[in-house]
Amino acid sequence: MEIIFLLIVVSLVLLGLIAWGFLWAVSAGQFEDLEAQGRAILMDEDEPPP
Amino acid sequence: MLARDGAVAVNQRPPLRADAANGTLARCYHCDDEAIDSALTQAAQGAPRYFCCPGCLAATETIEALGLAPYYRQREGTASRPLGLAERDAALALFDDPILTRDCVQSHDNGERTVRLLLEGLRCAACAWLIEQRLGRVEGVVSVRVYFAHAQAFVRWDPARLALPAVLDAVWALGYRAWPFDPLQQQEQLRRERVDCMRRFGIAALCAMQVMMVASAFYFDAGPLAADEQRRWLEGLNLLTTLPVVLWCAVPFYRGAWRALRHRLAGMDLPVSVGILLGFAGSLWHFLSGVGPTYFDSVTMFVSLLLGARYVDLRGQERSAVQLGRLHQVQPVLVRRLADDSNGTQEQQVLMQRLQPGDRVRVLPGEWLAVDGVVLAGCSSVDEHVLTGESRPVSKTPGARVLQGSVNLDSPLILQVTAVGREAFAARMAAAVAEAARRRPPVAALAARVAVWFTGGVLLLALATALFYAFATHLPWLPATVAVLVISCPCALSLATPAALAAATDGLLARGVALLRGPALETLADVTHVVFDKTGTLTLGQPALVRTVCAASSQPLNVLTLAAALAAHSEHPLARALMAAAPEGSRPVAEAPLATPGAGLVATVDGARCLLGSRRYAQTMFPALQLPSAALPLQEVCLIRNGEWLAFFYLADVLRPEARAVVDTLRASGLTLAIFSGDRAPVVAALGAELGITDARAGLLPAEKAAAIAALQATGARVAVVGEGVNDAPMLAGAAVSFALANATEQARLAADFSCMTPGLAPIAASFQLARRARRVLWQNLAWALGYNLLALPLAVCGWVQPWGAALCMSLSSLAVTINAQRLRRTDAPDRR
Repeated sequence: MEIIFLLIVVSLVLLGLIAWGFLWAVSAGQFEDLEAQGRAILMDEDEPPP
Repeated sequence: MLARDGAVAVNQRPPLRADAANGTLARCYHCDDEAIDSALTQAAQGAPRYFCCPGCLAATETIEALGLAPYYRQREGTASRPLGLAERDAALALFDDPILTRDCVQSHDNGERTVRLLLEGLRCAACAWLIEQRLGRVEGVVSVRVYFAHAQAFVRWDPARLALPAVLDAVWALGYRAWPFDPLQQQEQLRRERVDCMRRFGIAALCAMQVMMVASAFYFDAGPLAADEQRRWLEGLNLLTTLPVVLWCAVPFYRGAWRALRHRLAGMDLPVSVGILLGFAGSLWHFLSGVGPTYFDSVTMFVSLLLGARYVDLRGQERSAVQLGRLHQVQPVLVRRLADDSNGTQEQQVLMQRLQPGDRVRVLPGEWLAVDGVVLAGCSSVDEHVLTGESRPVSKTPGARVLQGSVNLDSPLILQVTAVGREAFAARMAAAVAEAARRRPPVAALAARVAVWFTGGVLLLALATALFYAFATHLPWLPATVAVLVISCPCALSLATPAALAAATDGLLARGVALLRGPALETLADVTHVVFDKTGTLTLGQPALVRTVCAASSQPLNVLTLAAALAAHSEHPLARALMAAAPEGSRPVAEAPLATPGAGLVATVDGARCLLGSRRYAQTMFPALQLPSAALPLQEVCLIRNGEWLAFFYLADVLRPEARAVVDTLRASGLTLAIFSGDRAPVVAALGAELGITDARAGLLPAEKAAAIAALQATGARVAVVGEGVNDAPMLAGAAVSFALANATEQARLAADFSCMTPGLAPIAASFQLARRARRVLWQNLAWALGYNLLALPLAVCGWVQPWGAALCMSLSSLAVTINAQRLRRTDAPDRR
């Protein structure tokens, strides 16, 4: 029975963390352009400037 | 005043030279054009690389020097050829004047500035990456964000170290174009709304998942988990996670419902709010009293589904606004200002924004008037069709008023400026637009009307259920009552409309029409009358060759070729129309042209002295010549060779090629058509007869057009208006639904509900078809939602519905209406009536 209190607290903390992360991501404009970010990964700059 | 877009020659590639000697053609490494100049070959890592021009070579060198070479491997299309340094300088130097970009540039406290740029020439995400990297490495640039989806960039830079032209040049040197850009306010507001909606949607979805995780355990509730104590704790957790959803995420619905109540309007938000609040209140009561099931899962899922639909809807609207915003890029417009000093009158080219009322400006033939003014000197005729609908040039003599937006045709004019920029003619039109918009009939959306009846019915049913259980049975009354409210939760009903409208908005965009006011699509399906403007809407708005009358000795094709050779030396619209009408192919060369602006020109062709111009001009030059009388009451150009007339050309503003088909389609679908024009009566009547439109009214002023629309609507007609000119703006604003064509002026665009981006009238017919399909889907969705309720409500009244059943039914019916709506996105759907 006691385990349920722990579970409730852990759920609420996790939910709070995820919600905070999501709100931060929206404010930081992470969802504004979903295509360019995926592409940027492929664009590794393996040719350093001479 | 230079032509509006005359500042820069865009992408003019030199004609390709045939180089068949070795069979293969070298392609430019940067732009994939033909590379001819061997001096531009670069030996790189073994294989030589070729370039078509120094600009491309410089672009590649810049890209590689910065370590951005991966661009060439990742790109999905070839680049555009960059302009040369001198051309770029000429085009961009004007952007140094802050007055030009004051609406696009935002200043920060530390002196840095942010500019919003519109990018042209983006082909794939690799292009966006390249521009972001390039700008990021410019000395003085603080931060860069490039948004590929909108083709926009935000650049923050330090003006102390870097001038705006240099920021732009970094992009231009790669072969792209960047223009400072003043987004429509609408777009900014839609963006804020969408971001707000995304926050609420995300949180609601997170909470719904958490609630569902716990609730699903109860769905298969058996044995030990059902222990009352545990159950109460877990339901308490669900209550906690539901609170932010009900108290924060759903607030936009409450606000909408409150507004609807205050203004006594039917709206979807009211039943939605009632559903959310009663579902929550009932569950709360059950939780506190410890009797009956809780429906926190249904409530949270309901809110997150609705917010998701709202998000999709807002995104569609924003995408439309962004497409339209592309028309608002800032390009410099230069005017010739006259100023007196000790050496006499000097002419100076200045930015339009630098003009003050009272200044004097010179306008050359073929130029666009950037100001309102009074003619001080010069006699000319101007084309005012976008302002008044008049299709023939209007002659202007000293003392006459001229308006911003008209085009000077014949000879130079010197004007005294009376109003500039936003104070010009357009401002007075804005008042008429606002007046007309007040008289716009209110929109009563179909779904909203259904929803009000539905809500009333459900509330009555819930009351009846409660009374029945309380007095006629010994069972608790609350569980069945809450079940009725939750299961009838108008989820499918309220998703039915936004899902269909969002899909239809996307479908419209694919057909080249941007929808700017949401309810317009629903109204469009109910339209009974379509009113067209004439000049520029049904017609092309520019002259075209209608008929050629030849002298007995000449051939129609020969005279046209000869006329085109002469016309090549003139900028006059009639000359351009003749050139467009002439057959392609080799033309004789007209030498030693001598032009009299606005009248005609004389030149030597194959040794013969030829004249092309007005009848009066011909008679001035050859007083002895006998000319036949005019064959048609149209604009006339005459061609003379060696003192003998060869031909008369008659030109007029002709119908758009697709106009007849579009008019016939609309008429066949049962719409009544009319023409409201500012042009002269004979022209309008002739056009009406040609299209079979009997209600063709002529000579209407802008306010009269709006009044005529209002009068038509007062008789119960639901009117759609199609227009493009400044003079159409009030009537566009006053109509139930309105379209601005692709060639529309800004005033017309801002007043209209739909803005076409594909030229011509074809998008109008497509929009009507789509609106009707959308309404069919809407009816199907509403029928489904109501049918589901008719089936489920009796079960709920009987108290047979468990929470899991309510949640499942709600999700499935919502999914069904959403998927049905997606059919509207297809552009290849069959056209059924």
